[in-house]
Amino acid sequence: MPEIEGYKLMQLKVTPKASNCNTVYAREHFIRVVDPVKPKGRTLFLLNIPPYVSEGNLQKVFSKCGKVENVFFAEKAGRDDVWTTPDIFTLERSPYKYKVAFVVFSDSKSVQSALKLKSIDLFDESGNTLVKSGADRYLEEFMSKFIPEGILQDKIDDFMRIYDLTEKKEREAGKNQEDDDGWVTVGSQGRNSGFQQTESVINKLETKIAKSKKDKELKNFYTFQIRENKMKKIVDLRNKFEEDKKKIEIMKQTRRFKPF
Amino acid sequence: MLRAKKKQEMEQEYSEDSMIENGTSDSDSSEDLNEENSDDGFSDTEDPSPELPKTKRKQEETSKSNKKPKLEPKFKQPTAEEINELRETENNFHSNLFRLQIQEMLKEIKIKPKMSNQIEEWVEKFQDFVMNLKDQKSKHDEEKMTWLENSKVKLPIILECRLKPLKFQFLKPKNKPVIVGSAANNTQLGSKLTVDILVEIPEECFRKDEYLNLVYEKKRALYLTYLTDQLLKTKDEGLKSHLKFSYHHNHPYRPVLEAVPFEEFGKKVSFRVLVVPEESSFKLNRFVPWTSNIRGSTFGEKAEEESTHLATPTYNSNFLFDLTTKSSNTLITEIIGENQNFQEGLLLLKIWLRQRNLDSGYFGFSSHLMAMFIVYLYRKKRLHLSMSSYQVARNVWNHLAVSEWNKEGKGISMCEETDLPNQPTMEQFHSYFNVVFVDHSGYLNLCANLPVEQYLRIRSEAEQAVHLLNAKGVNSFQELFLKKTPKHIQFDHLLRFSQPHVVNRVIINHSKREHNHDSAKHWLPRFYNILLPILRRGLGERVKSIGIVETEMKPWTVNSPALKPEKSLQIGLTLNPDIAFDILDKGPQANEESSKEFRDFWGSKASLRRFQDGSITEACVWSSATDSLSTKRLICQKIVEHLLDHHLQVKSTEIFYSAGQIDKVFKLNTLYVREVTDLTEDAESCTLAVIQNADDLGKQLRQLTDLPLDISGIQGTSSIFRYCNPETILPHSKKIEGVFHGYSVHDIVIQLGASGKWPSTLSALRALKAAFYIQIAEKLRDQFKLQSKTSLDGVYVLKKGYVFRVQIFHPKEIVLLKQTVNEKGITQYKDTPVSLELEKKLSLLPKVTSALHGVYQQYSSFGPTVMIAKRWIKSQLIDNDLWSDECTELMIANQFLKMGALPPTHQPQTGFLRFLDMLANTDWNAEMIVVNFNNEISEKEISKLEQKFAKERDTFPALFITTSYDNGNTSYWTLKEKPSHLILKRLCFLAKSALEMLSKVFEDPKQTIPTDDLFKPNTEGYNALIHLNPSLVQRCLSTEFEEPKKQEGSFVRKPEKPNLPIAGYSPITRALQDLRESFSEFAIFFYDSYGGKYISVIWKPDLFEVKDFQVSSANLTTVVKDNRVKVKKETILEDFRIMLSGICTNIEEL
Repeated sequence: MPEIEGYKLMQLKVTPKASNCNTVYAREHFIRVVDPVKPKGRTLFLLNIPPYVSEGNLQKVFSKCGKVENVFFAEKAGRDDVWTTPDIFTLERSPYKYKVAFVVFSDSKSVQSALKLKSIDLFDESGNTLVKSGADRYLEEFMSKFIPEGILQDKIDDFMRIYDLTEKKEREAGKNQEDDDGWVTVGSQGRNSGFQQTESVINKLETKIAKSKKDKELKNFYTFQIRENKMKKIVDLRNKFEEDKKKIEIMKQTRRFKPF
Repeated sequence: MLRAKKKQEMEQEYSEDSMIENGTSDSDSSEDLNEENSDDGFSDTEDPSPELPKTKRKQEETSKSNKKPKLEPKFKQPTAEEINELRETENNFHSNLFRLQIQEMLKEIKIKPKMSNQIEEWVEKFQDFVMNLKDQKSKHDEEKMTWLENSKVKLPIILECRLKPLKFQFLKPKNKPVIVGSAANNTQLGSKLTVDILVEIPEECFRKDEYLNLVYEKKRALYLTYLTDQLLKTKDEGLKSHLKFSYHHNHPYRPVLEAVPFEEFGKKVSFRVLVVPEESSFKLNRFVPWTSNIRGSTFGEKAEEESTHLATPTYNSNFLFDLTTKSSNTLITEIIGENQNFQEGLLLLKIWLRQRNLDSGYFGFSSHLMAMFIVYLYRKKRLHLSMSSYQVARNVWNHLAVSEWNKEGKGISMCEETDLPNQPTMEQFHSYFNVVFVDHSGYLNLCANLPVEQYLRIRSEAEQAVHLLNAKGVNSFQELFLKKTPKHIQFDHLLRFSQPHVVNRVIINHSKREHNHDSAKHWLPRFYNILLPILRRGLGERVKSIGIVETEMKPWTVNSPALKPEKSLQIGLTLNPDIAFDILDKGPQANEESSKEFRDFWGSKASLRRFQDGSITEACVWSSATDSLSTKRLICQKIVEHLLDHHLQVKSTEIFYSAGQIDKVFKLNTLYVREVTDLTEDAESCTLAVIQNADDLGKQLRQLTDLPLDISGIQGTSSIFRYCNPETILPHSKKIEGVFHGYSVHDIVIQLGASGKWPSTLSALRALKAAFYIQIAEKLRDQFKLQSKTSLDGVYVLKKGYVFRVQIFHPKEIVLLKQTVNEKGITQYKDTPVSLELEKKLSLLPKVTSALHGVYQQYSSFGPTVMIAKRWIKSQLIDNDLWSDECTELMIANQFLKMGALPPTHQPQTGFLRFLDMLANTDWNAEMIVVNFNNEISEKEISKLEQKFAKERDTFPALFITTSYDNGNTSYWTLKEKPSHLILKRLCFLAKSALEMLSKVFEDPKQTIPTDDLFKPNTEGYNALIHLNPSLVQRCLSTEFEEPKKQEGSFVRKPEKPNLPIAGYSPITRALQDLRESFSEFAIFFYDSYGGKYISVIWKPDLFEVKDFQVSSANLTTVVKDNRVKVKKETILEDFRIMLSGICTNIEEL
């Protein structure tokens, strides 16, 4: 069986008679850091999966080697952030790219039997392809945005109910309550609420402190300060002159001063 | 305590210099610096003279200190020189930058010392050669001049008249030939220098009466021929040159000799020998304007006609010009030759004229005239020697802008004497000439050849120059001196006479006797004098100015006979937008006497009309009130063509009128639609109906009752709301089987009233938006019976055949997209591509749309210009994903809004040519585009941004555009990869080649604008073509340029409408997105989204190389052998087929 640097080679066939197929590189998933999502020994790692292959496709293909628990895609092998299916309201699409796949079996034997496959056959018994692409895919995608209003309303209601619940829990947690050790979590609610921990608020506070310090200083009082100010003006003028000269230098490089 | 400490620190810091100890000098210089000086040298024309000696000293010092390299540390004590220089810059120049730019430009055109030595040497040799010539021993009759018969040199003059036989004897000049003109006062221009050398014909060569009947012209030509003949025979190797004759000032009676040295420096220098009589040859008062120096008999007129001698003021002036050449040059050299600042000022003005093509030819405002004007201003104490070059130029513009040399009593004279014999008064000058500027002799009007129209154009250019200088924050230098304005981008309309027989016919049939005499039968002024009164009267206030573009005659070798003047002329029109598109010219009341004259002038177009106010008058109607704007823009063309036909019997096929040829790219393609009405003729006129319906929909949305929140703002965001969509949008849309079908969907963004109850996660917020969509859709159905459908991304509404999509914008959405939490647990807000896109689409675009709509209201050609530009860009297979549509729109808006060398155009075609010119001739690395709507961004902010842009160029995208609505230096309109450097470069290159193709058209008399070639893509260089399923191609219903290929078989164009697609569903756009996302590392895709039938593919370089197997780059590879892999082209093509199933018909490899 053909092999390259420990990877088994498989042909990705979209139709029974497909030629010029993509080569999928497969091996058992193995990294030192233990990842509960991709359990050691039970995960098959696949390289070079074309964009048009879906999780469902792979699940179906590999289910003949054993029970498939889960299929994930990711952009690159090293990265641990696997793609998640966005929920319907965010209107985001999963990436459409060449990718890597992790197939998690419930049994470690299945990985070995999967590695014995010569090709990944993306078609059913009668030879029809399982891949959904092209005009059909785009039409389905477009039409899926038009959900009948009644059904949509129900979905929204469900979604918002869950949202409200989690929101309420967070709010409860945010209240300034003393815990057992006597620590108080300062949240954004209640009487002794802390300020919002955002960058802009922190920046604002910092500049405010700096400014109030500065305001207390006398600026044009001592002779040396006056002298310093004058000097500063000259320096500014010179700086401007130098800057302009630099600008000209850049313009000169592109020979922009030739009128004809 | 504190003080002591600080002082110590200071002293440490400045210990190297003496600034602190030397208190006096410090305070002096600083005061100098801070002093607010009223002498700003900008607007005051008269500077206080006591300043004189002081500033002069400064300037000398400046020139010294400029050369010194400035490497001192910043904190050194300023020297007096430095302070002076800095201060002088502040006072005498526009700004530091302006001054440095002037210096750089002057450096570019400065002549190298080596070159000037060579020139000097050559001139010395020439002087020796001339002074060593021998006189001819006796006079020869014209027929018996054996030297002429034996000479290889042919007489360089064609006189269209009969001359009495004359006698000629060559006498050598008494005075040494001298350098005159620009070379005499160091103000030569250009990479190719011309050195004028003046040879004076001794007065003995002429008989006293030979100023009459063109004998002088003939003798001068003979003298020049003899000189040339001798020069050919000279033994001096250094003088050997290519000898050519050419016409001075494009005037066929004024041949000059051009000598281009054989030596190396001849590539850069040519010498021009002018031959003039000594001033004492003829009395100047023989040439006062009212005398006749050409008798009718010269032109073979009969004796009875001859009895009245017709005055020849123009001819006389040209004669006088020759006689006074030497003295006026002495005058100029005296004043300008001695002062470097005047020289540089004159150089600036000459560059300015040259860039606007105003200085050359018979009708030009020559640099001699400009030099004389500087002398005049100096003598009038309006300019003085201490002024900087910038001030000289500025003052000249100021005076030129307010001058009125064409008005009685406002002409100017340099002559201080008033009692010369027979000296004409200013009134007399005004009665014979249109524009009056009398020279130092008191007899010559320097502006004799300058037509009023040309003078007025120069005056308004000067005005514009002053405006540009006053406008701070504009890089006026570039616009004033470096921007070239070729004729096809300068004028709105361009009229070309290129067939000599037409010009001849007009001249023969319509030339008046006085013009024949005055011009000595030179065709150009004769033709111009026939044409202009007709155009002026016919177009009236419709045009702001009528410009002349002469065809420059080329030099010819001395061995061939004199070149016949090439009779072709172009007239450029600049429209007055307030009146130019009026459909009616109203004449006098029917019973008035002048009505006959009106009918005579307008011919068949004049008709009696009764108006609403009850008056019955003569009138000409050019177009119907309901006609589209693009038709109305061509009313001037209709008028010109009608008048040329009526008065001069010139048919419209005999001229070429460049104005609306390219407009057809946004015209409705009649193949698809049976009935074309005025309102659906082109994309521009279709737009109005869409906007009206959108406004109606907006009103209805506001009237919706019981929405949980009020609708606070409604604004369209599709390009059609900015008049920028070249697709002709017709009310075709309808509901078929519950789904909206139509060619396009127009986006409308609404804002809701404030509420604190919006959720704080993105999905929840969007879910609530969807809930709003449901409500809006329901209410629109209930209240207004409008067809509407809810989608997750908005409400689709079908209204009177148009489909609109209403979306809600909530600022919190952007905040949520930007939000991230860093490792300290602090919430940060960072722009991401997604947040930028959304912010642009929902927050900025509505504002920009209403601003651009305003631009269209102000300059109606803005919209169509964008339409043409967009179609051109798309036709080069660059679609919205590579170069965004808004980018084109803003670039063109900037072209209309910013102050520059050219005022906004009123003809889309010219606007498009200017867009190409901008693309081709701008350095996008150094320049950014600031679209300053209503001048909302202050100068300070702009200059701050410019500094940042220059310093941190890499953090900005390849092309940077910002508007008044953007948040400072965030780039919304262009991204790092949109357009990428590659695409920007390609588009600039394409613009350059398109311009080259077009400028050829404007030079070559035989060609017309090749619209089809312009809008057809070049298919070279692509690796593969993906042919698309024609039923899915979205067409823009406008003129199509790309011919469908026959061999594909599946698609042959039929004269019927394409099937109505599902509204908003564009599989090809989606397919392109997917292709680009999937293959970003492998290939680039190009597509014409206005109905392109194929996608072009270019592989990235080195794509198919064999390489080592790597986990990180295993995509699309196939194993070859020994752990080596390669990307196979066949695999990619196969994947294309899979991904585009149902969309592509065929993939063609090239």
